[in-house]
Amino acid sequence: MWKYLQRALFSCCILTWGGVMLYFYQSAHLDAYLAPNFQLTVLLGGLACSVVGLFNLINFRVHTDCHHGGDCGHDHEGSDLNPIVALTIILFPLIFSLAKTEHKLDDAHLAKKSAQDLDPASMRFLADLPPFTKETLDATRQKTPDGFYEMNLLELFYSAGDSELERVFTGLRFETEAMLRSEPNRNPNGDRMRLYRMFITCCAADMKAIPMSVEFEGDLPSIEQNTWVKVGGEMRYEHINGVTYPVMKVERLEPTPSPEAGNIYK
Amino acid sequence: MESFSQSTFAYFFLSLLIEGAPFILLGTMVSGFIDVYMPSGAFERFLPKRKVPAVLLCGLLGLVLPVCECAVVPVIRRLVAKGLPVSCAFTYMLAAPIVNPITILSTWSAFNEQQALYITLSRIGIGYLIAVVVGLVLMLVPVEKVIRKSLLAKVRASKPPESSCSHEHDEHGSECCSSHHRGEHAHTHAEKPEESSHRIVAAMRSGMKDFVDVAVYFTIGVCLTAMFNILQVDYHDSISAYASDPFKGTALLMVLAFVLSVCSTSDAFLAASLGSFNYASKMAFMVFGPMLDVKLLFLYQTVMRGRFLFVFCIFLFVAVGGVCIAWAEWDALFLWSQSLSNLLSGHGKGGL
Repeated sequence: MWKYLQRALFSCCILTWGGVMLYFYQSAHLDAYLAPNFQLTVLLGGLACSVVGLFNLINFRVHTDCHHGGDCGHDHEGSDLNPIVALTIILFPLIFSLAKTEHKLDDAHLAKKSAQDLDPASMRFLADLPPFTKETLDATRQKTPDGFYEMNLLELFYSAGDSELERVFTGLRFETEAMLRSEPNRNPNGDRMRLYRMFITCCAADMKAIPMSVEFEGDLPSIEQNTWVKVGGEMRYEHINGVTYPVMKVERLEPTPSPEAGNIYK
Repeated sequence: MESFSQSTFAYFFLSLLIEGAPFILLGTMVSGFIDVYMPSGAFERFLPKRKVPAVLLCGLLGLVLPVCECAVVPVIRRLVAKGLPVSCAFTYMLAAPIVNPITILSTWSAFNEQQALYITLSRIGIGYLIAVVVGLVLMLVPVEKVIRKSLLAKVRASKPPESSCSHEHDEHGSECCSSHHRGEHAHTHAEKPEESSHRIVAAMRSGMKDFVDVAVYFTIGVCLTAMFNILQVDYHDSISAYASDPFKGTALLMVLAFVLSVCSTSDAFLAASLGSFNYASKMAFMVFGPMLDVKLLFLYQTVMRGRFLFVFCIFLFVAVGGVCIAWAEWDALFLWSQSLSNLLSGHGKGGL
């Protein structure tokens, strides 16, 4: 009787995991959790969990023999842990998390994360930028009517990790979109703010803020923290303690609607 | 803990869980089918008679018999009891959770666009190297000093008699042939049709049991990793100081791997999320974790003597840490894997 109950409970446990994966796969929130190349495995994992769980649930009363013979001496269903304890450990954090998640970082965590500096050179492998020259830049990038190259923040950030890109980009004018916040570091004259977007490599737990300082002439704009802005300006780079940081000298800045992909850049 | 927020914990927990769960299911189902369909003696029939080639081959057996570290300990316990040399069994036990297609696939996926080829090859290479070295060393150590007395008694009792078999095969099932006769005689076991279908049920059930066993440790590991990632923002500077030092960073991640006890089929996803640590530290995390963690410490006690287990743990910590740090300095492999990546991906920079 106890064995039947254990089988049924274990089956339901796998079905629960399968259900959670399938729920997230069809949910609009999946993009906030996983990079796109992991999303198909969630569907396959969810389906497989459901099949295995259902199969075991349907057959929970079937008597089986491993056919390893009388001397095999092992129990295919024996567990090191009490099954109830095991299920509690598996299911409690899952149910708690489903109830508590808001599908994003809380504001305090986001504020701290976006204040962290990253060394662009150490993250260079994530960018996969082609070897730009001024000519390839003209050929591959659109320009705004007032002469700014359109480029996303991630590319501008990673250009600081490549001396060749740094040489080409220095002095050129770019336009990019990101969120704006105060600059907590490398701001001796108080004339800087920080652009940032969040970046996921695999899943939300490895999320990083990709930052770039923007420098103003005169007063800082009175824009609410974490507002989406479109910024145009001239690129330059500063070298501090062996690390190269990108800095944009702002020529124009305007609030802009949040992009469809939200704060997370993938 | 000032940054701890229930919603962020839940967010991180779910992201790690749905990312790793499919690989756990895959690993445990394969393990379940091996458990039911593969007789223990099958191992010994395929191994070379000489011990060194046998150890070298055992380090690669995970490629065809993939099991994670949770599943492999009960398997090798059974195999040792059936007479498999301890050196071969330990080599398989240490290598199989790393040198197997599921772990290779998950490592490749987790480090996609983060030098996946280099990381994957390094993980396989270091895992294999350490496992083989342990196997070769164990060839020189008397078996009485390695395995528990109760297991030793089974080993001695399992020495096969040379006489021909005289028992009823239908009573003993298939394993009697693999352990006693070693396939040297030609006969077949009659298998009833309903038994065949019931074996599928047994395999699925065994896989389900493995899944629950592994999911327990995986869930605990995911909870701790989610906490670690939340606390990172408060201790960013201290952790960065550790992360930038290959020795301190490697030691810290090896301790983390020991505590987290995450399955080898999904630990790469956690390693990939530890962005500020260098390759040596991440590799140490992915090699040491499948060889020794909290849950394995308990499982190993079912196989090894206490004093030997202590020496074994110290050796693994020092050897894995040292090899990973030295390995990361080996630029030739990095450059070769990078050029191969570029060749495969068909463009000049970045790559696999």
